[in-house]
This record gives sequence, C-alpha cells and structure tokens, in this order.
Amino acid sequence: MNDSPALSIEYAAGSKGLLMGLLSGAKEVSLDLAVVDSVDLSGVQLLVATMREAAAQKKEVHLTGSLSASFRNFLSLAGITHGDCQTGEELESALKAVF
Amino acid sequence: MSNDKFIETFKEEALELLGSLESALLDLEENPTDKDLLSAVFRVMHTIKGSSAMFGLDRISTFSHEVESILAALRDGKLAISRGLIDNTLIARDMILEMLEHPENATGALPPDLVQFLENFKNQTGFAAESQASAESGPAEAAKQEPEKILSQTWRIKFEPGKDCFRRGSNPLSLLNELRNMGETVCIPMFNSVPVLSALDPEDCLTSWEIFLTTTASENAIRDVFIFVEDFSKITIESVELLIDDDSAHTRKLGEILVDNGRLDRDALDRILGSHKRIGEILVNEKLVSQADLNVALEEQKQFQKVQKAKTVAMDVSTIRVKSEKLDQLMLLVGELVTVHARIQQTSKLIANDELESIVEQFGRLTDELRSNTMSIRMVPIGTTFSSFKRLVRDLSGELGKNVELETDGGETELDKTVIEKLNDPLIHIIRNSLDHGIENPEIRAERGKPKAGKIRLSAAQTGASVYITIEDDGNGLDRDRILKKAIDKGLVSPDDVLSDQEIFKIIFLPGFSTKENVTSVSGRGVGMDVVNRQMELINGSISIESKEKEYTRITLKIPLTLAIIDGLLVRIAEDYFVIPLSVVVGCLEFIQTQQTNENNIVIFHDKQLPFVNMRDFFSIQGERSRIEQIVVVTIKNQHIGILVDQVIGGNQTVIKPLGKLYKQAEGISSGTVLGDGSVALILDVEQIVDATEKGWNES
Repeated sequence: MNDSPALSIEYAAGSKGLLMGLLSGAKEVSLDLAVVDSVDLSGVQLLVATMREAAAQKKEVHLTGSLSASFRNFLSLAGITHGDCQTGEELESALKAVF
Repeated sequence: MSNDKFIETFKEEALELLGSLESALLDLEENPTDKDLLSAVFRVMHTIKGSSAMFGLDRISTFSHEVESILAALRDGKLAISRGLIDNTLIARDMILEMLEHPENATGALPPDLVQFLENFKNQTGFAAESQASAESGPAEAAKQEPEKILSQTWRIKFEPGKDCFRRGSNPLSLLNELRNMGETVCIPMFNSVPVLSALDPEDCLTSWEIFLTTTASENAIRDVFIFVEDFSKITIESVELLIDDDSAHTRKLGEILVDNGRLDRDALDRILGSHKRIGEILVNEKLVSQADLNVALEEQKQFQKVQKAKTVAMDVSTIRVKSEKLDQLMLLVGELVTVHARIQQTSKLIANDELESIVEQFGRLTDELRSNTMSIRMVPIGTTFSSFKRLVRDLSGELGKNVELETDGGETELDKTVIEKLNDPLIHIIRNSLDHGIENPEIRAERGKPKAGKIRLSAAQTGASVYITIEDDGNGLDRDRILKKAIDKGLVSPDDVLSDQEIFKIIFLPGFSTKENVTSVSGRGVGMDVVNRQMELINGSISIESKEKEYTRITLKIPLTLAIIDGLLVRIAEDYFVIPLSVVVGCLEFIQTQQTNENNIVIFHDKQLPFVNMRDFFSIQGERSRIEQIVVVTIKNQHIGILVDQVIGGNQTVIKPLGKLYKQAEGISSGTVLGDGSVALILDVEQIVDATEKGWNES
C-alpha cells in the first residue's frame, strides 16, 4: 500500500486493482496503514471487501501500522471505532466484529 | 399533620431515594460515561439536602450538601469516576441512612467523624481545593439541566444512503455529524451489503447505519438533516418510546428484537432458548446472526431500557403511596368476597331462578376481575431485590479479595409482595455462599483457564403459576464426594444409602451442614443454607441444584406467584372436603377396590407403577369405603404419586386461610379455606403426606 497514501474515492478504482493483485500473488497479505494519511468511506469499504475476498479464497489479510490522527478521527466519525483504535491490528478486529 | 408525621413521610421518601442512589452508583461504576446516571445520582443528593433542611434535619442537610458539591464537580467533568469515589459516595449514603434511622443524630453540627470522612473524601478525589466554588454552582446548574431532560426523546434512525451517494458528491458522514450536534448519538455502521473485492464497484456506497439519537429536536428537524439525500436514500425514523408497547411492563429481550427486526427466524430462536447459554453468543457462533446485527440489537435493547426507565420515572409522578397493610386488608376482603360469591352461587342453584342466576353470574365475573386486579396491585418486580444484591456482591468480593461480577436478568418478572419479602434472606444466603465457596481465588481461576473475574448470574422468569429464580456461579462447583463424606461423618446419611447427585447436593441445605473447615465472617457455620430450605417451605417453593465440579453451580428456586389465592382441586373423603393445590395435580383416575389385583397400594398409570396413599388411612377417617373411588395423581420431587379420595368434586378458587396454633402439628395439612356453603375445607400439604407415607413404608 506504499504507493497510495490516500485510501479514498479518487483512487478507489486503482486501489481495488492493487489489492486484487496483492491477493492473487500471496496466501497472506499485510497492509501497512501507517502510510495512509487520508481515508474516506469508499476506502473502508475496500478494506472490508478485501477481507471478505481473502476469507472466500481461504487467504489471510492483516492490517498493521499505527493509524494517523485523521484516519482515527474518520473511524470515530463513521462509528466504526470509538476513538480507542490506534493501530491497524485494532482496526482489523473492529472490522471483523461488524462483518 | 404534625411535624413528626412530615418527618416520617420525608424518611419514607428518603429511604426510597437512598435505595435508588445505591443502585445508580453501582450502575455508574459500570457505565462511567452515562450522563443520565450521573444526573440521577446528583439529583438524589440534591433532593435529600433540600428536604432535610426543610424539616430541620440540619446535620443531614450539611453533610449531603458537602457530598453534593463533590458530585457537582464530577458532573461538570472536573473530577473523574473512580472506585474510590464510588466507595466514598456509597459510605456517605450509608451514613445518611444511619442518621435517618436515628433522627436524634440528624440535627446539630457535623460530629468530628463525619468531618474527618468528608475531608478524606475530598482529598482522595482531588476535590479539596475547589469544594466551595462547586458547591455554590452545583444546584443552579442542575436546575438548568432539568427542562432539557424532560423534553428529550430517543429516536431510532435507519440510514441507508443510495448506491450513487459518492457519485452525487454527498458525504454521509457529514450527516452523521449533523445528528451528533443535535444530541447524544450512538451510530452503528453496517457493512452487510459490501461484497467480496472482485464484485465490488469501489464507487458504490454500500454502508448503512443504525443510529440512536437522544435529542430535544423534533422528528421534522431530524428529517431535515437528510433533506438532500432523501430522494436516493432509505431513511426511517422511529421514536423508541412509541416502539415500546405501553401495556408491556417488561423490557424487550434480545431475541425478540432480532425476530421483530427480521434478522432472525422465530423457530431458531425457540430452539436456542432451550439452552442455558447467553443467546447472543450462541446466535453468532451458529452463524444465525452476524456480529453486526447483534451489536445493533444490543444497542437497541440498551436504548429501550433507557427509555423504559425514564418512562417508569415519569409514571411515578402519577402514582400514590399506599401502606402495604392496606393492600393486605384489601386482599383479605377480596378473599371474603370470593367466598360469599361461592355461597350465593350455591344458594341460587337451589332457588332455580333465571334472573337471579344471571345476576350471580355477573357478580362472579366482577369478583374475578376484582380479584385479579387486586392481585396485580400486590405484584412487584423482583428487580429491586436484585439490584440490592449488587452492593452485597461488590462489598463481599472486596472483603474476600475476589473479583466478582453480578449479572442480573429478568428483573421485570413480577411476584406477590409477600413472596418477594420472604425471598430476600434465602437469596442473600445463596449469593454469600456462591461468593465464599463457589467463586475461586484469582490464582486458582487463572490455573483453570477461567476469566479473572468470577461471575454470579441472578435471573428470574415466569412459567405458568410459578416463577423460577436461578442463581448461577462459574466457580468451584459442588464436590459431590466431599459433601457425601461429611454427611456420613455427621450421621446425616448412612454409608449404605444410594443417593442421586441431586439428593447429595441437597444435603447442603440441611441445618448445621458445612464442608468448610474454617468459619469466616461470610459463611462456613452451616447456618444459612438451611434458612433457604425453611423459607422455601414457608412459601411452598422448591429447590433444585445442578453442578459440575470446577465449572459451575446452578441453584433454581421454584416459587408460586402468590400466596393469597390458589387454584385448587376440591375432593371429598367421607363427609369432609379437602383441597389439593392444582399446581401439583397431573391427572385423575378411577379406582375400584374389588378389581385391585394386589394387596399393595399400587396401580398402573401410563404403563408405569403408581404408588398411592389412601387418605382414609392417613387421616384415620372411619366409615365404609365407596365402591368407586378416585385417585388424584400428583407430582412431587419429580415423581408421581396417587392420593386416594372418595370423590373429586372439581376446580376451586381457594382463598387460603391460616389455621390456628392447635393445627400446627397436624401432619398433611397446610391451611384451610371456606367453601361456598360456609363449611371449611382443609388444604392438603401433599409433600408432607408423601414424605410421611414414604417414611412409614421404609420403616415397615
């Protein structure tokens, strides 16, 4: 994910292709979210869809890295977390909980 | 009314307020961010301060003023909620209670021990420096907040933005933000419609939200937030208050919410309810419901409970306080009326006048209605009793160095007031025992791979004419062999006795029995659990125990809904009438002595041998037996047994009348009732009859 600092609607189509590529090439994929400095709802939908795709293909996707302040703020606004989510790992379990 | 009477009324109200303060404080400890709870705690202290000053109880007033100041600082966000703060506020509450119960200590300046306590309280909470300023501003701000609270309402909003939302340049999050500005919100996102990545159009908006909004704003104002997206989005706005059925006093159960929202199949729910696990856990494990749907339902349940609580408080405004003796008197009068009705009915049959019979019938309907209304007035939810145990568990677990959570369920279940009063002591003993013997020390729990915090679950549910109260802990379980050994050592059972697990477990309820080597202040003396047994006998209840060593103990108390009037089966033996409580009756069968093929008192019922008790023999009633007699089949301690009588008359609304002291020792009789013709019928104590007969059989 190092190439896309923004996980948002403008780059959504490109991000989808990138994520599909990553999934097709490996059994286990780690997405470092520390580099993502801007995110919107389409970006989170992409993460959820990626996790679903991985589960369907019996592969694993892990979210890692510490989240930027704007990322954390967005998650809290969307009601996904309650301001207590600091890392990709924590976001992964929060998303799994609402799957 | 003299000043004393005013003070008496104030005392009654204050005791009630202090009761609610205790449960509010314990709830607040669990939900430190709940502003409503914080306001409730503050209001109680404020009311006590004001009222006590009005009645000249200046020591209470000064003391509560100081505590109120600390609570005001807490409400204003200057202090944080901590265990120490809750501990001290609970102690302060106990001190006010003490002063109330001894009004001679409620006037004059604060004594040194109270001053010292307040100083420590302030120091520990970090309040010391600003106490004066907060004390002055507290009440005024509380008054300012009141009107807002009265007008606010909770709404459930389902917001499903259209797929095109992003393409149209709308940002759903900005709408959520607008809602947040209108009041307190809980937003739960739903990603149910998001497909796997390969099927996703990344420019589609596929997220929806369930939002709970508590606000003073109107429905129209909320709708206005969605004005620019309503054409291409699905929006439903419902008032949570209207969703709660006015007639139902109970809180909606999680399963009901999921079925009502179309997220769960009714059959699946019924199946799951058959097991004892927490429903949410099972539903998610079995993939019947997604975690997201469960989260929404849990939040909905929380919001419903919040609104229901507010409604109850609002309803309290239109209630009046009635002394419980007056209700007892009313019940007694209704009982007399039921008896008089039965007499009139019998007399009218002799006169055979159509008009009279129709009046008597109408009189009967009204009596029935009056009876059920009066009984419903006496019914109180068991929740108040449950919440008083939270403090017990909190304090005792601290004393024992254990971490124990008390979970309650079914607090809305109603029982006759008299029954509830009699339940308090047994429940205290069972809970104390669970805490001391049941829940293990943290180290042992860790070794057994159990969560650090032990759990005691207290639940109530009504089935037919009985209420089941279950006390379950996830602790040690009962040590079957140890109980048996101790019972043999104490000579309570013989080493040759063959006992079932249930019978062995029940030994713990015998007087003087304890497996504990050391007596502690909490338990171990062997008194206590026998109190449970005795009280259950008094209210015609029964006990059953399930347990698995090192895993759990579950004690279930089966209690009759009321003690005043029961449904009975009227029978005749020679010239005398008796009533058998209908709750134990399974069926009736004809018995012809001449056709009996064996000498023992045994017949065949549903292809099984059924022993029966000949009541003529039991009560030594002389006279010739009828050719055709009847056996009433009853169930006691999970086994069927027959009661042989001359004739079964039929159903009877039995108004229970206590018998005099002379009859205390009479075996097989619990109480009496007056029949329609004014004669007396005795109510049989079937359990005692069965026990005495079994004893006789064993001896012979």
